[in-house]
Amino acid sequence: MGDQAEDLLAGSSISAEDLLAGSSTSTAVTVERLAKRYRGGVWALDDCTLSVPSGRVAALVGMNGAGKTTLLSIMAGLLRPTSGEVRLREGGERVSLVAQDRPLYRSFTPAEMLMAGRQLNEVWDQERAVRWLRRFDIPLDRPCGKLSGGQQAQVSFAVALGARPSLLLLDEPLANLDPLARREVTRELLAEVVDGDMTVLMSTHVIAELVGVADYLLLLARGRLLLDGDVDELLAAHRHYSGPRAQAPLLFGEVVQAKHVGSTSTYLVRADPEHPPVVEEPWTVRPATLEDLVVAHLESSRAVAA
Amino acid sequence: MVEFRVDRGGGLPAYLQLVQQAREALRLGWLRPGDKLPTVREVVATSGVNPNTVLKAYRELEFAGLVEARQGAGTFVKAALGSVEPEVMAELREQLGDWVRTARTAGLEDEDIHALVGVVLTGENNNG
Amino acid sequence: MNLALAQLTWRQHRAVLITGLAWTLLVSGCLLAISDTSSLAGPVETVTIGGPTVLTLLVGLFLAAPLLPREYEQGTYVFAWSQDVTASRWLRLKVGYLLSAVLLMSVLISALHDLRASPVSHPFSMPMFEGFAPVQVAYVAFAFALGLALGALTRRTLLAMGLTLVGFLVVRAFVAAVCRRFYLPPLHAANLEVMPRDSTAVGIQFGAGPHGIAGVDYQPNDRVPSFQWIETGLFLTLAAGLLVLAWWLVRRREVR
Repeated sequence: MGDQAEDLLAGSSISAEDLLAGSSTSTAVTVERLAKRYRGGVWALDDCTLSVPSGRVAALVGMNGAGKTTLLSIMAGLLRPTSGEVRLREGGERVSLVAQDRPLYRSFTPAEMLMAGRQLNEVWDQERAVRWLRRFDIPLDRPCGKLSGGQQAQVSFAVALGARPSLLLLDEPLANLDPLARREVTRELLAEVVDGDMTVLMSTHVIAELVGVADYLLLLARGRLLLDGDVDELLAAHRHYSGPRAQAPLLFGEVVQAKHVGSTSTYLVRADPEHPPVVEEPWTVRPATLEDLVVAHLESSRAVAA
Repeated sequence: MVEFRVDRGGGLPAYLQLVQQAREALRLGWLRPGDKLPTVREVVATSGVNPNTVLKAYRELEFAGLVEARQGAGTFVKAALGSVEPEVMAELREQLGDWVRTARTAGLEDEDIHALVGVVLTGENNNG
Repeated sequence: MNLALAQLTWRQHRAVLITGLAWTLLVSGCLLAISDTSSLAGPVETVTIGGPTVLTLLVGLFLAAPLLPREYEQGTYVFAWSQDVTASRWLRLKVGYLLSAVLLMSVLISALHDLRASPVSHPFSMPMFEGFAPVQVAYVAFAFALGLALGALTRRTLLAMGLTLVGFLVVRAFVAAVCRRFYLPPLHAANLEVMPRDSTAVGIQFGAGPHGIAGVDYQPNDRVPSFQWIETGLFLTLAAGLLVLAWWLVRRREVR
């Protein structure tokens, strides 16, 4: 297995450890029983336990108010949790956060923002940061306050990457970017993942954009982890089964969601991907999309909570 | 050369989509034995696909005996797929094109077509 | 890597620092230009009299008070404090540079002021008492610390600036009017006639006696230097306390 991995990697700039990290248990960051209560009594996080495997591009998915931003802020060391703890990988993890509102010094030019990044960090890769700005045609000498929202986002990315993080936290990274820029940013970010040994944790609520981009999913609901796992494994484990209505519920796997429309019943079932349930006519099977299974888990958790 | 892309709306895991595209390219003769597959870095940079996904797809292709990794050189196509004559392939494709047009006229959408093809394939496989 | 954060600090505060420096040079020039006995009314003399106070208010209101609120209001603390440099180190370094810079300016102005200003009859009040250079420097340190701490507390630029102005004036007036006379226990005389000439009355008891005065508390004028050092110490102590408060308020938020 190790040899094959190494052979496969020949010609790519990724190391064998990166590949193996995908399947190993090494985690970049673990949070345990994390809770955060804001003034006014709102629990943004409530007994939240999860971990992000190293070398992955993990998606932190949840509705507004699920606690995504709070979790990222605590991981970035900006917010003190009410209780619980955050554990970074042994040997330390260089954490960079690109916050949702892209805070920049408005009077600073992008070049001066990079200077700020250099001054605030012990490790700084000016070339990498400048490369990012040039790639997206960001003027280096115009005050950030006069740049468009998309350009400001690019400056934030450049500063974050310049700090050479081993754990890059992105809060809604694609918000306020136009669709074309989204593709490009995604592509370039993933290329940076290949080039620098980096784990990415990105929050989003646009699930469709994650397919092919994220390889690990963390689904948050009401400040708690609802579902996590390798995206491919989750997709392989979930299927839609449709058949005539009023038939007894399927007795295999875990029914995540049951829908009855007209004369048809559809069940989203989570089962062992190696041995998927076999069904007879008139039942049909079709794969579930990432969006399907995220929505189904969110809805069923809401039903339980109600 | 093959250019990979991921259909973001599909239910098929991204790595399987890549595997499928590689197999398709092999089947259609776009990739031939001895051809070099793009490096992970190249695939990521051109198509914005997660590097772990690309690696997983390449590993899958290697397990299937379709490609081989050569130390320090890259990943190369080892075997061709499909023994159908190119003319036969072209004719089948044309017929399918006609059928898809008929289906569209009848009001079927892409998803309906996929579902129908899936059902027929499953049925044929079960009967066979 | 040269001095940590020096370039960033300069970039963020260069406008106020340049203004402060320009003012320092202008006041210094005026102080050197005035003749010993010129009238108190001319523009040059006005600049020299107001010189130290304007610098002090500039430091408190425009440098220290907005230092933290601006980061909170623009959300840039999220950027500044999520890098390798921790928030408390960030604050220590910035305060170190800025305070050093403004204290140097203050030392220059106050020393020249001290040398050139003519003595005025009442030694325990302005401008004689407060013209003493160390006192002026201590006021600047206090104004800086007060602005910084109020900024950390309020997180609002305008509010912090307003409170700094009010707070600074109130504390200064209170100390000058109420505390200063009692830095050391006053001496007592039976009446004004027997009080030594070279001293200042700080309290009079009325009762049976000549002119209805039963006793006089006074401070000998030769105590003025001691009192000036005591006032310097008082304001430096207040400044230190406020700096620690600001540092603690920022430090409290830190996780790692």
